[in-house]
Amino acid sequence: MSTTQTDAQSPPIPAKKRTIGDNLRQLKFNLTAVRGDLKYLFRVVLRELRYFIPLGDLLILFSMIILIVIVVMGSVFYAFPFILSMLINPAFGENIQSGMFTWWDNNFDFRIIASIIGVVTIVVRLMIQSPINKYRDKVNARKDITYIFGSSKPAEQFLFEMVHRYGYEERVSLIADSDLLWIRKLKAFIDVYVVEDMKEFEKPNLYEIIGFKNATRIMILTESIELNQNILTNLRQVRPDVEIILLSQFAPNFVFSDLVKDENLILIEDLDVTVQGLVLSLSLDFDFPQTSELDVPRNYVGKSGDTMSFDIPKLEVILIKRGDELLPSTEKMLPDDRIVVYYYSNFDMKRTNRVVTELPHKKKKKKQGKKLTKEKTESSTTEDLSEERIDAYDTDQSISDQIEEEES
Amino acid sequence: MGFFKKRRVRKFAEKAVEQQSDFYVFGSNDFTEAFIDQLIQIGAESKVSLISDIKLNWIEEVKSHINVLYEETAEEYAKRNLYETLGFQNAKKVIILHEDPVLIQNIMSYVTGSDLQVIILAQFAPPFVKYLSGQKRGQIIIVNNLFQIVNELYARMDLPLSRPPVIAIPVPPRLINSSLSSVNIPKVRILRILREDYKKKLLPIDLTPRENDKLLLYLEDSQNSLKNLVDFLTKN
Repeated sequence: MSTTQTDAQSPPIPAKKRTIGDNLRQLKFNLTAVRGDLKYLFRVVLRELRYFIPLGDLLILFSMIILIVIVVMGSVFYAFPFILSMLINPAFGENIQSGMFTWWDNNFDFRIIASIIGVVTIVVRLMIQSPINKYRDKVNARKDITYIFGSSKPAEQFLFEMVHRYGYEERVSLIADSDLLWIRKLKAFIDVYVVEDMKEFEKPNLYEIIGFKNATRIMILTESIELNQNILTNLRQVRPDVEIILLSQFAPNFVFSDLVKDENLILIEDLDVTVQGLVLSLSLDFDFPQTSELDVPRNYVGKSGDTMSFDIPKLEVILIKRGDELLPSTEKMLPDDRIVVYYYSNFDMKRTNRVVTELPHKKKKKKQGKKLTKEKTESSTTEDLSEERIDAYDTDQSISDQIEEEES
Repeated sequence: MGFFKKRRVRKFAEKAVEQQSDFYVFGSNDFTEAFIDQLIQIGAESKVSLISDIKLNWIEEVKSHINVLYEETAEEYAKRNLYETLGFQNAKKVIILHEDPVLIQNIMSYVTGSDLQVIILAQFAPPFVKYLSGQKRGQIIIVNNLFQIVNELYARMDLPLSRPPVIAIPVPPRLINSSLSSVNIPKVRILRILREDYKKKLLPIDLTPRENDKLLLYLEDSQNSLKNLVDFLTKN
């Protein structure tokens, strides 16, 4: 009954009809998203190749093969016939030498067998490598990694969002304490090492092998205080300078002591945060909707937030932030703006964020900024600066694309 | 022995009625300690009754401020008798902060039978709670501390993408079927109406909200915005 009343009161939601221009704009964004994906994939493929074809190792292997061939050939063609000629008969020695040359020259199969042995040696070498060495080699091929220890709910939620919602797969790596299903699924996206025996966490070997040389920060998110203590103390032996993040509810008591003066140890006050949420829930029933704040995608600079919402099906711009100013989504967006979006699907969120991170417009802005200041001094027009910047962005899109390509 | 036990529980229930306890808290862990401590600090200790599964020093210390019942036998939580004796008279909310899923399930299965509002932490919520919260919307509140923890972790990552201070609240009864244009809450901006018929959709604030809708709000200042919002909701 009340629903009908409400329907009668509410004005109908205007349904905008799609034009050819709208479809073209959507196509352009989709193409940009594909370009962003390809850029990311290219980087990942290169990294994988670097792991599967270790150039340093191959060089050593080939050097050894060449050395062996020289030694074998030297002994077969010269040393062995020379010894024979010394012992038996000079003519007999020469015959053996020429016979050996002919055999080596004609026997093509022997060379093929030698090549196959070389390839098989490399493959076997990769296969017999222990999981921890494989993990170390793969993860060390990357830069600026955040290592995450644990398989707790916060770890799962954090990694799910990093990988499936925002597309930051390259920045994280997991060292888990149990082989759960979500961790197995995650192996397709990020480097994961599952420690089979929990006692490994107590010993320094695990940490020494991995090294954590490329770690920008390490998050210890297991649900065991004892385990966290082992990980923390061992990590500090290997990397005394790296930022380590712990949840206060699972932090060992000694970290609260005055004796521990570790500037790079950061405690997330999850106990306080939870209590604040609890106290608030006594008077307010609230939840957190699926929203994110990000830069304006390059295709939509100079266009309104509503246009972007119209083009990307399961994403809606709900607010535009310009410095401290909060603007409605009907406003035209500038390159420096930040947008708050509500998303219905993780896929569209990830795709949009990939465009923003892989193909940012910040670099172009500097060049535009120079150009604009030059134009500003030359021209005497008093147009709004923001309008100029939008126009400059639109007209210089192809030029700046070219510049970026040249730079890359 | 059973008689004395029941008497002990009844005494606790009578004291709770006497001091008009609004909130019943089940738990004894660090979260419970911090929560009770916070309630004492804001002067709401008289409104709280605590049911703990273990005797701890911190509970003994707060016993002089709040009404406490020790129920150390896990089996008792699985029996209707405990909840019938407790009665929950005057109670508005029951807060379950236990970590053991069996204990949570036992408490919830008896407490949710009444009209009481139940608050539970997302971190310890067993899967059936999510199912139950879908069935009994508004009665079960899951405090999403996991979101807040992950939020804190994000802040440390220095990523170009961040999580904005946006929350969703049910439409206040006064604003149902009325225009939102006249609503002015300092430091709080109403962004959209979130409607969930068979799937979620966002509507502009020009439309009038319905009964089961939610409002998407942007909090410009984390502390003052929430205070203003709570003031607005309690006064209206």
